[in-house]
Amino acid sequence: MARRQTDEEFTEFVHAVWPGLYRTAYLMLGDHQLAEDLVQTSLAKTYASWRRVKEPAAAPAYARTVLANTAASWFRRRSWRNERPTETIPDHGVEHDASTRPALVDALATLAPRQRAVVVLRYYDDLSVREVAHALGISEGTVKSQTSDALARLRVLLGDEIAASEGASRD
Amino acid sequence: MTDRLSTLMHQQVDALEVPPAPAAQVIAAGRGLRRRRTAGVAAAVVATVLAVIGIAVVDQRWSDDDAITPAEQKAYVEKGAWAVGNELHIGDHVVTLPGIDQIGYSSLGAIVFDVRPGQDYDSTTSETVLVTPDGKVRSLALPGLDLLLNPPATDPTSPVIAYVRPSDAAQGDVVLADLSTGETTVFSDAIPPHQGQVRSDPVALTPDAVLVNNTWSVDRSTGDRTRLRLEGLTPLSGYAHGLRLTSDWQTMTFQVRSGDDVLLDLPDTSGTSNGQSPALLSPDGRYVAVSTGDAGLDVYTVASGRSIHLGGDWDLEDVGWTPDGHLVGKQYPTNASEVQTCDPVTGTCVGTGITVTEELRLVRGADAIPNS
Repeated sequence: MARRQTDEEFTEFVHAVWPGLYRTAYLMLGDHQLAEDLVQTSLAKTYASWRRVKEPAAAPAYARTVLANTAASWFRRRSWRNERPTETIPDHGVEHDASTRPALVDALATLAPRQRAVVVLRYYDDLSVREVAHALGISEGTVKSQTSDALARLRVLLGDEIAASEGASRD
Repeated sequence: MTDRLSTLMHQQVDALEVPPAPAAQVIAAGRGLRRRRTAGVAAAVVATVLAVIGIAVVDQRWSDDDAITPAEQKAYVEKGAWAVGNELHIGDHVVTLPGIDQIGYSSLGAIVFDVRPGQDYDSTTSETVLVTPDGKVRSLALPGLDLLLNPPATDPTSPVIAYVRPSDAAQGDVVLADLSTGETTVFSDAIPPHQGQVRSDPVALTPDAVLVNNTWSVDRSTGDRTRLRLEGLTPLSGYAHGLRLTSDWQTMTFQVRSGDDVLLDLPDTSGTSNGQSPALLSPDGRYVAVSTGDAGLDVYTVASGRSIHLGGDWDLEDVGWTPDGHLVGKQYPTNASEVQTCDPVTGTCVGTGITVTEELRLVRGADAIPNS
């Protein structure tokens, strides 16, 4: 049975999970202020529904799911949807010098918002296809197709060896 | 390997300067949210009690006393079902449910599916109910239905739903249930083991077959399984009323097909893809809506190929379908605006008189995504 947490305990929890969630949010959004807003909003929602967390050990994963859900709801807004991926892809097809490749965050910024979220949750937070689908409220098929599309674009920008065609098999 | 992508991500952000955690602000905002939720729950309790009174059917049949009036049936078919939060609008009725993830149409009413997350995958379950046009919630006591992680297949012209449940032999049983008679057909071990679990397999209905995971076709009469032919087509093709909405990998075009026959070719929408689903086939298979990218959407009649344009702020992401193939939605997804239904042939839109601020959950029909 869940017990009521104290504000002191929740404060401790916020300090513990904040850095990891902030990094995930920054990779998803590519903007420090938005990342801070996203994490703050997500942790406020976590506080409001804390009784759903039955085991303290599950709390960080729960907060991360709330963060992904919140990001997904932001992406559904018209203003986010109107954000298009960069149309012109730099031609790095024959260039293999890592120092000249665009930074990863810049490369991620060329992806559609939901693709960014899928890639970050899979390859930074190491979630399975199923877990990403659950967190973002989309089907597993969509996760796989978004991953495939995103990796294809990242291969062009970052080089084949960075995002080889592993596709959706990392389940 | 994508391990290098993972490593690069960690390298890029591990050295990031992280701002201090604003714990006090988080708690203050969390308290505000909790207060608003408490007020909302109090208001919802009355509606929930009214809805639960209607749960009387556990064997999928009901008596003549539960007869649905023609006016209620007409309202369901023409206005459809959509949800705001846990509030389901069906025809002229409003019902509050414990949760609403996805909605589908059967000829008997809306099939509402809701996932109940557990602590892990194995403990996660779901609940599927039938909400009839009179606004009553009918529990569906069908074997293995609560194990689904994707909704059962439905068709707005049929009382039958289909789904796949895990079998004792670690394979998948295909279940067909006629909700009007309670008759259930189970094809044991019709789906072989595969990557992922059958609980998550998407399922679609055609008049002759149950299609599972975009991979297998299981004959509805015999249970015989054949592999679907998807050469050149994205496996994310969607199905509605026996028709398939496909996207071609090479040409980035969409087609509506009946079996291998192409019923309708749709224009190239490659410029509109933003990782979203740029085409939607209505659940009755008669119409398909295509995003035009800049403003509005085009709606094609599959049989004739004729199209109309819905301009202005209509966006493919914000519309769904009614059982009779009208579009339903609102033009401003996160601002207060009236829910409307739009005729797919004339383009005329009619307001429902209901204004909603939040985003709607809609019956989206079958979608297809170009694999660019």
